[in-house]
Amino acid sequence: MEVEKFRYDNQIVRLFLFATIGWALTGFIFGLWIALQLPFPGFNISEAFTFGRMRPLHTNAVIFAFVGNGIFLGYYYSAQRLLKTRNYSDLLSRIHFWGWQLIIVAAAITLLMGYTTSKEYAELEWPIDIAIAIVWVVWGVNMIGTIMKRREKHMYVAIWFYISTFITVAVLHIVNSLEIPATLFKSYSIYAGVQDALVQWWYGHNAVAFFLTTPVLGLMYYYLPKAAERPVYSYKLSIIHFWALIFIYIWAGPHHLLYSSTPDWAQALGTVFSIMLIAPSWGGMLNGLLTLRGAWDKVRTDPVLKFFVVAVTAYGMATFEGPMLSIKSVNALSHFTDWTIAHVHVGALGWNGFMLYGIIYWLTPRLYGTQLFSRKLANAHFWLGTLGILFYVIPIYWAGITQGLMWKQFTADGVLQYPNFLETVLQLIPMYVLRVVGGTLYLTGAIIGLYNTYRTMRAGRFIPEVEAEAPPLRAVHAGEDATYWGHRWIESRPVQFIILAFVAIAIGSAIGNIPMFVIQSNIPTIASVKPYTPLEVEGRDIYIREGCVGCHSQMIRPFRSETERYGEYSKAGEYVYDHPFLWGSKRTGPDLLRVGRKYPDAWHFNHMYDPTSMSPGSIMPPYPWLIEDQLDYESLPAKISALRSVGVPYPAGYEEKAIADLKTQAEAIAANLAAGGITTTWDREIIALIAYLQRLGTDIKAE
Amino acid sequence: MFKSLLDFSSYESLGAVATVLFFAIFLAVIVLVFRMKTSHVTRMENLPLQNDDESSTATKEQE
Repeated sequence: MEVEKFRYDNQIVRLFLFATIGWALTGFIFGLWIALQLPFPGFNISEAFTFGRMRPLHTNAVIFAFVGNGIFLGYYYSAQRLLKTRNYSDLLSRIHFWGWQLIIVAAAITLLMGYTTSKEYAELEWPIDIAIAIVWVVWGVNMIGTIMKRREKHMYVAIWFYISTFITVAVLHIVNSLEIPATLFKSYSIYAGVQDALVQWWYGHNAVAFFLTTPVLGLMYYYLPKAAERPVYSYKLSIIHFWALIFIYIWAGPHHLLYSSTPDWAQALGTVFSIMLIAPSWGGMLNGLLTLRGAWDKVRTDPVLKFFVVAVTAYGMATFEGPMLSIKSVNALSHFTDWTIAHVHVGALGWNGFMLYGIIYWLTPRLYGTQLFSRKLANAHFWLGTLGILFYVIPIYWAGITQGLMWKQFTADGVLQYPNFLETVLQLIPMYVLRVVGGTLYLTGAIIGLYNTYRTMRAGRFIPEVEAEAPPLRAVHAGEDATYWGHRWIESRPVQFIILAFVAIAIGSAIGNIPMFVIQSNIPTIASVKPYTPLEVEGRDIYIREGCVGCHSQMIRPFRSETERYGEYSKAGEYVYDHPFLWGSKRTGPDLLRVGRKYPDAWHFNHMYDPTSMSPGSIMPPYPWLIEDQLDYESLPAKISALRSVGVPYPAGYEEKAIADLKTQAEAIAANLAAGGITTTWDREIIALIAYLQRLGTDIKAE
Repeated sequence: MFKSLLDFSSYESLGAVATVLFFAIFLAVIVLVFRMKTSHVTRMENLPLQNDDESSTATKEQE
């Protein structure tokens, strides 16, 4: 039989290996830093390094820098070998690598500078969004090109997961990032309020599904059998769980919006499909664990398998907990608390982190033609990481349940037992300190991992290319019966496979989102709700810039415990001019939807200058620069124009009048502050922020 | 027309439609899977193990 010789490209694998290890430490260090900021607010050291700006940096660094590079690391090694061909284009591989790193660096810089859309895991502003789309397509073209020139007719399950990742993330990113630019680094989402929330959490949930889950499952299906030296437990199970997973996952986004102002039908869909998700998720988990049948003795000695076992177990735990959190009665307690934070860290530290470290320990010796420098150090990494996960999540679960219960606790007289929100926060400080211990242990393990891989590299010699040989596709399958049908048929037809995978994710996406845009009754309008004034627009942009949404929600759920604490529950019609929506997902501070006119202007001024002056013991960082910095309203006409183009009904030509209106309102606030003994000028940023805060929730507030 | 198709009462049946749709596809996949030839399944299960340009990860400590 004719045999072709070719070479696998290890250089692109090595580049992503370096990036994965490096960005992992960056993401963990930022995570540890923001963990310190909660019990010790002094760690908010400057404008750029406050919790509000650093939290999205941490999440982006871990998701897109650490896990993203790890996915590409694992993909570039495994895809070549599963398809028996070199990557389609070395040039595209390099553009993919360097483009992705540039995006990460740009993300880090812009987020610290306060350029953010505020949409979780989609915070980056529009120029970077475009760059992400381009680089993602570069990867996709390279992947599809590689598949097309393969020498293995049937695509293995790992390749299906890579394909579904590419297609779905492209769709999610493009649809969720549709925005109208006002300036080079400021844009407004084309969606508003409830619609924006639904699109964002369709994206946000499926960023977890199709960035943190499906590609990592693809890696699991390659590296776990390799490490165990056993074939995958059940190929049939992999087929069933793959199609079920990608079909169901896409529907589940609205479970992030239970008890919110989104319509009940959307919430019900989110709950139903989230619970159904247990089956395909556990299909993957069981397939992973059962691949170790007959090889469990190796788990005792092989650190790679140890990492994999804990990773797959964490995946099983997180994918059981997720559906439970989607049950409304559980969500009523868990939502907006640290419970969610603990849940995602089981996934991120356990499933993603440990899968990738297992792969790093398996790959590095092979890339360098040597042996792992130290199994003892790898074991130390494993145990420090495992203990780190436990020390992280147990106190944070405790914190979440504690705070959720305290928010809901009434006295025998029927009033809130803990009416001061701060009291429910201070109760959690010991748990926050314990979390720092957990994070430190995990980071220490990662540093040991860095040293171990470095010494492994030093001990060996990098193998940039590996010679391989395989018969060409036509020679292998020349005499094969072409009449077979069923799944085997689709496994050998990448174009049809891609179309079918797209259909699978498009059904849920369409049914979950389109009704929100075509049926008016989904968002009942409220006549008294008006667009923000120019000064309030500027104030809202400062609120977004400082990442206030990371700690403060603007969504009062219809529970007595919330209406007693905050006021009237939220209505969908209140948010029709909110581009983007700012409902938030975590309350480290209280909800702010009805904060308008609750306190005098002077209270807000003093509170932003030094939160402890108004709330003794507060862990909120101070924002003195808002008092000093001049409000930049030069781009206000462009902002008004951009907002009008996304549907806010500012009258034609209002751009010319907007600055004058801004000044009038700002002078009134400055005069009000002066009457309270505070001297400032109308053109300070704090004035705009006060204007926005004082407006919140007042459109339907009874006088 | 599209609006009227979607405008059924409170979207209560959307969950049921979606669930039925899922189970229909799920059953179809089950049928396809159980009609697969064992030889093909076995070959695919072993696919990751075919490329063995890699050496052992065993460390000196293990040896």
